[in-house]
Amino acid sequence: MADTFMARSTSTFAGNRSMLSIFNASASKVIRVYRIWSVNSRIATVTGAITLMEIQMLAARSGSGTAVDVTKMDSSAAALDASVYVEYNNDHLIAGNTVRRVYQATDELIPNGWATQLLLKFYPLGLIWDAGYGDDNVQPLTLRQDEGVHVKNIGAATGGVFQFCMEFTQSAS
Amino acid sequence: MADTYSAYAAGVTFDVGKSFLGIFNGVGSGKVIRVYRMWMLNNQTGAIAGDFTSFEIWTLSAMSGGSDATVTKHDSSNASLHTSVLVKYGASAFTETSRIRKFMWCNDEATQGTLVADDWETFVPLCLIGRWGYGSTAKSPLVLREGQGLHLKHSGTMAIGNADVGLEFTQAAS
Repeated sequence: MADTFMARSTSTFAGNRSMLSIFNASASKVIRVYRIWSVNSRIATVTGAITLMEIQMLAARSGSGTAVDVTKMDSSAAALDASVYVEYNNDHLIAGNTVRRVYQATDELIPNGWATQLLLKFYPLGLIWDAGYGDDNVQPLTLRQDEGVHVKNIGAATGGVFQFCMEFTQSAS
Repeated sequence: MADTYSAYAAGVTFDVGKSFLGIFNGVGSGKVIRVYRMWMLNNQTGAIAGDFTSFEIWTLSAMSGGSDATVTKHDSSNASLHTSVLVKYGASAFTETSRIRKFMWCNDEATQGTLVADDWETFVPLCLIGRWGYGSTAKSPLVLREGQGLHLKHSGTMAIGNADVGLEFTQAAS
């Protein structure tokens, strides 16, 4: 099996912000993105909002964002290529196609009652992309040189805090 | 694995009997289309007087008209989708052959602070309205040979609001 990695960011909402991105600038590696999660982790009071997110393919990266945690699923895996960038809040990304849109409620979690934002604390319900996972007939999102994908808040919500996770593999072809 | 594509139609407006998203493999394509999964998401942005309405998934023997959905290759090295393979929303003409699913949908706008039907329709895992053969090579996805198609049709009477629809499929020579 391919070397597998999990990226994770603690991302604060702001209007038009890239919440988690991966961009492959390597000529020698192919990145395959299998799953993406968006999970509410805000517990301090905030004036949240329901906001529209988009999963967008990326066509270019002209500058840096904030590097995020990337964990090897097996410590014997090769290191992630230095030309593969996994970032939060990179505003130097050029988007291509939108492959999915999803609403997210960014208000804080509260211990009593039920509301949309509370269900977003559950990872199974925060799974916003899983193409190819569990079926080898279906391709995951495959990122060749100078291709990427990110989750972007295209709405105006500010102040909420979510965990964004991305599961991907790295291989030579 | 086969060349895989995601089709997406954002903000498709409700109308009576409207084809929300369809895929049709035209005669002469020389391709076989296999449809694996379909989603419908409530991304209605403004306040509307929405209510429950019904949707149906049908196989097709003809489809024409409408607007192109956004089709994304899962791998940029994939072949382009054959020009005889149409992926449209709002198809103006179609011939339905077999109804394979019906479900209800609330097209009211989603909000935070509540947890009613339209709010649940914002969760991707809960909005998987079709999942055929996915994860098992012992079962077949929905296979569209030449002259065959599939669409999601609004079979109710709502004429306000909008929703997003997505489709995951492969294209192969056989």
